[in-house]
Amino acid sequence: MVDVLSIKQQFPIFEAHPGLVYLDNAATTQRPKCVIDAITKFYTSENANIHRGVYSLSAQATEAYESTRQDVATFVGSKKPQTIAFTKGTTESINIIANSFVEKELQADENIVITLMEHHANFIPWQMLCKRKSAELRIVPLDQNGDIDLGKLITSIDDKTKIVALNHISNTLGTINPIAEIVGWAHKKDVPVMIDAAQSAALHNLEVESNGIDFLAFSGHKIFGPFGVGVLYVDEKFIPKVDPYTFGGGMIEAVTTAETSFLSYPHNLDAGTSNISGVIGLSKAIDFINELQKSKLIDHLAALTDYCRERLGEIEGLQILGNPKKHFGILSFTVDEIHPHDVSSFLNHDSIAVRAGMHCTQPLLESMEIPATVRVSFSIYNSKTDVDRLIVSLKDLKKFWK
Amino acid sequence: MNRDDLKKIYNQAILSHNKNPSHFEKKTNCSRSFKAYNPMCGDRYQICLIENEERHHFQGFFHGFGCALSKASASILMEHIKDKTKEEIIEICEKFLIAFNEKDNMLLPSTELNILVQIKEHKARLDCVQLAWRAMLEALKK
Repeated sequence: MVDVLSIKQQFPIFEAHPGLVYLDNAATTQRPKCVIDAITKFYTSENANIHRGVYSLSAQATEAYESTRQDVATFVGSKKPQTIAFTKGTTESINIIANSFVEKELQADENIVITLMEHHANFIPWQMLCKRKSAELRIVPLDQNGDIDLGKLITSIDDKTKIVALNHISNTLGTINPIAEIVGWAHKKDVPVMIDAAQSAALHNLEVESNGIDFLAFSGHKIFGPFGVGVLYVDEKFIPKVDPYTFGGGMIEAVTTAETSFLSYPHNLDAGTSNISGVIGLSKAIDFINELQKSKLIDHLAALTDYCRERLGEIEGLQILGNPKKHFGILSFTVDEIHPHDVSSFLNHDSIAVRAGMHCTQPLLESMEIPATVRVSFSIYNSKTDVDRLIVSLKDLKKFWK
Repeated sequence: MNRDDLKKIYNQAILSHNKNPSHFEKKTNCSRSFKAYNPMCGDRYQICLIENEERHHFQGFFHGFGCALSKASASILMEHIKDKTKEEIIEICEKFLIAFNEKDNMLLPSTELNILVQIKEHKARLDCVQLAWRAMLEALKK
């Protein structure tokens, strides 16, 4: 059994709001005290800029920053710290690969393959790129359960495909996509694969090397770390191909009045001062996760999601979107006659935080002809009690709305 | 605002307008037609104004999808602009939006508006109430 209570006690937000039922973890998780303390400690007693000073504080800050690359590499299953770049988040990581790698390779008669369930962050960069280069964006549809149509995905990948980009876990449906299998199909045709791991990185093993993932992105704030810091993993063979995308101090090899040469990836992405405290916080978040019993927590959250699905079935007129074969931690639903925003407002008054809206997956919802949904998403501090509170509140709302 | 206050406001004005919105019709003979759309949440209405050319009075209609608050608010707006001139509609919209954005309470000319304006205490729902009013004002001021 997982001791949810002792995990919850490590998150100060629940002390500040004792009755809070936080079910919006797909938007952002809460932060444990150790992460908050690490950031405070950095600013209080370790603060200095990195890579620039020869004094002790700067050297220590540089070491803390650079050693996090190794921690993150190990965390994602890479042996090499030079495969890891720090970014602002998943969105920036994906934009870098679209604009600083794929763009120069993509020709007008070529294509990019994505799926209909992508978050806008893994949709719009590819759509914009294809428009700029007059290339084709192939959007693989889903079946009625919310699983990717694998047959269509496989036939979409051909010798004109420049990249396949998809999420590991859908932020709207909770679908777990068979990424290793998809990477296998893409690699048969020598096509690289980019994985948006925003929803999976907290607990699921990413194993970039053994899964053959070429590019991977996730955000710190969805794995108990700070806002404004994220990760990009680039497989070693693509490292020479990732160009700088913004220019400034810190990323150069030599500058003359005539021209500039740049450091190689990942340092060529570090124009300007880095989010040092963010990286320090991310490092602590990874330490925190490494102490968790991940597989037990995955089982706990899978059971909790199933329990929630079952109990939501008690509410008349409530429909859950999709029923994917493998799913994790996220359920989106509609309630007949009651708009998701009204549902969310009434739940809020019972101290239950859920998300209402389109969840940055407008193409997916439009394909299902649903304008908006309520989404509940679980994390390591959630328990059956939270689900029970949700159900009581929803039942009360249904009664009131009649 | 607590849950009971919210329930009270919904009971007094929102639920009935949400269930049976006024002037909730798709029209084709519009003098002016424009969108009220919030991309953050997906609420989307098409608003249609039909002008009586002799008297320069308008009738407003809307259709589309949105939460109970945005729909009820649009419905109340349509009732209040019935047979009003462009200038009168602009004044009605401006007055309501000022009252809605002022800290102090201002008395508005109908019971329903005075109920609707109370939603300003509910910070997460400010856009819902203002959606149609802002779109109307922007369209008429163009």
